[in-house]
Amino acid sequence: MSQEQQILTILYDMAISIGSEVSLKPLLVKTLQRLLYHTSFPAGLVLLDVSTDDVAGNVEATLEAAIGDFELEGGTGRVLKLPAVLLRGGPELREAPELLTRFAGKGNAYTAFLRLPIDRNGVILLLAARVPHTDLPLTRIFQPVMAILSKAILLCRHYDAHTAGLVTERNTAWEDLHKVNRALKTMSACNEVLVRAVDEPALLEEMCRVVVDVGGYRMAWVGYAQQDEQKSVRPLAQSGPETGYLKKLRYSWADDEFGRGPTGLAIRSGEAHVVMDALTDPSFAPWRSAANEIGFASVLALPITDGEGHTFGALTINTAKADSFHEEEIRLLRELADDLSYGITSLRTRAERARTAEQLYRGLEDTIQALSATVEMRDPYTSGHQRRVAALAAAIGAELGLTPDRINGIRLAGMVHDVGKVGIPAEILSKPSLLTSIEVQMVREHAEMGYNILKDVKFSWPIAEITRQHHERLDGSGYPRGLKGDAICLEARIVAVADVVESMASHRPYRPSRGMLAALEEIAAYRGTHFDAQAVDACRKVLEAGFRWS
Amino acid sequence: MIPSDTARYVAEIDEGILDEQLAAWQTEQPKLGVLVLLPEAEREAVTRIQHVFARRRVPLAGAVFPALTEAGAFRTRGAWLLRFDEMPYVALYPDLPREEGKIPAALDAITADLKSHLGEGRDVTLFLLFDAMVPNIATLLDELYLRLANRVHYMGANAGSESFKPMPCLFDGSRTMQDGVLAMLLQPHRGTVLEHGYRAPEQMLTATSTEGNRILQIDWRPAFEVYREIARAQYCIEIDQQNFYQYAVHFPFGIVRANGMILVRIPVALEKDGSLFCIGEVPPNALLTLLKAPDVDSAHTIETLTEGLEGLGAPVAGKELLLFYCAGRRLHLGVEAAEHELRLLAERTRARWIAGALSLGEIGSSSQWEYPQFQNATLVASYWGQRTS
Repeated sequence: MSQEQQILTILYDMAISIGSEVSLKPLLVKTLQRLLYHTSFPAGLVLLDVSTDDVAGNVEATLEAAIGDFELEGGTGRVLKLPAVLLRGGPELREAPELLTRFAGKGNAYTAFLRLPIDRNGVILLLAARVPHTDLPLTRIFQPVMAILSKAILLCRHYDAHTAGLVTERNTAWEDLHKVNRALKTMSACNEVLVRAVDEPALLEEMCRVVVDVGGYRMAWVGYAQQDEQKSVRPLAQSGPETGYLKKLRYSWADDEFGRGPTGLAIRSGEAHVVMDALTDPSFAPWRSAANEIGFASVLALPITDGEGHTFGALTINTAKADSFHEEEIRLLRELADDLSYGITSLRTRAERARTAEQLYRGLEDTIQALSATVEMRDPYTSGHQRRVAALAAAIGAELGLTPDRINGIRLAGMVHDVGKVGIPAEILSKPSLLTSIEVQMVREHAEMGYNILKDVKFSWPIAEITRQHHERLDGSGYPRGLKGDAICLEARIVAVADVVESMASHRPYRPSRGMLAALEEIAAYRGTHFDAQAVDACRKVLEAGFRWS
Repeated sequence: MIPSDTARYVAEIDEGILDEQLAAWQTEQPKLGVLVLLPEAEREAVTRIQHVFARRRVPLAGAVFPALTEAGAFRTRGAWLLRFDEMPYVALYPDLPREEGKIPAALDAITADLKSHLGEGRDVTLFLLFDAMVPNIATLLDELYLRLANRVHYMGANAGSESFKPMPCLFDGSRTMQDGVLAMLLQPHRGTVLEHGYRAPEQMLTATSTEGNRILQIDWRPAFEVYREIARAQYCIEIDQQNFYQYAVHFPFGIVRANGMILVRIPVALEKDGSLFCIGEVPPNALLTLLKAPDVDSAHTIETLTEGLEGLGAPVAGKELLLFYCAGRRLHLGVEAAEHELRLLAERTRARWIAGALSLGEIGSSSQWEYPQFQNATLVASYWGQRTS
């Protein structure tokens, strides 16, 4: 094979190798690898950006790539000061240990070099302990390749710059997406908290916890504006690693240095306020050293408002990195704060309603007690009868597994089931002998009269109807309307059983107490005909279980 | 009497003999370790050998080659036991990456492991025994050099079957492995020299399409078609999958280098798609020379090899040598000529002993501190163990 053919194959190989790379580092490494492979030199360097000025015979150049020498590889990227005669000039192969002392290390002792200039600004140096054997003119054969390499370096630098731009752009987009996703995750988890919330302190604590644990923010806290002289902001809940952080610091919503931070501004203005870099933002000066100490860099404060749009507090979120809050993320977190505001308002409204209902109920019960007392004042022999019927009927309802609300209705109905007796002359009510048929008729009217007294009172339960039906019997033998079966409401059927049992077990003006046993026998005898079978069974169980009237 | 030399060829793998030898060595060197070279025909003996070594608690590393070299001849039976006075660091790295994208991470892990076992001394040799079926050994070697550079000298050979069928060919005290590399850090050790003496021919061909270690086209024609024509013209024979290796060894490819030396690639198998399977990669679109029935100057090869060994810093006479002799070279030269080379080497070096194996690819350089090459058709020689100077 001729020398020309050999050179051709080498140039071909080098050109193919250079042409297949698009990025600078792989280009230089691959080029050096092929040069070492072809020449048997063990080490090679690429030096770029060689300075044009030399100082005391030295020039500066950046070591862009090095292979074959682990110590020189460690210097990649550094600017080296090297003899000008080593880096400048045409291609050269020579032994000159004095020029290579800069490269001496533990693992080498170079005496020979092959210099291959790339262009005016770059050079390749191949290094060896001695000049490797070759019959080919090494200083000349690589020159065409170096011209290609020069252009390839330029193109690769452009490509790398372009790629770096793309990577930065992609990373920015990725980071923005991450931030928005972080806010969405937080919102979703916070919505669950809102749904489950039962009271305000727990809601605030849980919200802060979710913001930190799910959202990955460093810290979150909720503070309410106080109507005190300093217009202070009182932290009510917080989550994050630094539990003592808030106690050490002062926040206000006044227009002073402690109120011009994001939290104070958010409360005063009703708008979200962000400090992107707590280390440099002048408004964050009062809290800077503490934030610096525990690593807060960005702060976002979001107003919390009541149902009428008045701001009464703020949710403040801290992150460890500066410039952490993306515009879209702030928008989503603002929504989160609005949801929290709604949750707080809703809980407060719910609590208000519950308080009102409680008051109404108490008022109602007092009224019913008064009504009951009025009846019993006129009929001393039945004194306590309604209260005792109410207690037994409620116990039967509980035994039957009714809801507490329904039991309450039965109890109240029991308390007033005889209210219609106010329309019956007192002497009939307390008559010690048997009543005449007219008197009986008059007494029987108390059920309808009770209904008429109560029917216009808006109870949550069918009190008037229970009162009207408590003397009805399943087989239609009762009064006032002779209702049958399911036409009689369950509550009335229960009160009927309790009424009979209590009446028979108590003294009456016209007879002494017949005792509890007789009462039970009575309801058992009419189980399913007069009285509801389940109510009778439940009454028996209640009494057998030791029920006592208090 | 058990020989107390640092290497022993046993003609028969007998557990008693192995045990006796280890016992004798243990009295001299309690921390010893042993490299075992086995011929392919003895591959079933690996488990028995591991048992003996385990019983004696002697560290073991080894590989299976097509044949062994001993006393100027090739042996298909027996085993070489090569003693280290103290076992060097040995690692088996399985599942070497084939895809380009996976190579950097895998090589980072391997070199991090090796670096953690490098001593302070300058002369450390990374001794690599690859499974020959690993298709990208040259690339892996380049990547190792990028990471370890001149921290080590590079030396190695490929193990496996000359039928080029996959088989577990690397082992240590408890494991056998294929498709990987067995790496040893010999220290102090000054590396190896490698020589083939193949002369550059006149005819040049272009491997116009390659894929790793497979040549798909030559001169823009299916590679097999070109090979078939050459075989017809040269030997009047028809080559096929069965006889391909037998004839292809006479037409290896040469990749010309600027130092005038040729990197040899022997196609060893014909794939079903007509591509040629080489031990070692061929650069894409490389200009190759076809070494048509290349002349081999055996005397010059042996002379260069001996000079190279002496260039490592010590007179070779009386020293103990480890040799890897390329299986393709033996097939090209013929057994008689190949054994003649073995005897020439023994005579020229006057080495105390030369232990070796027939290899399927070799790693080394022509002299110390050169860019390491993955070659075919060469002889690779080095001093054995710590006795380097």
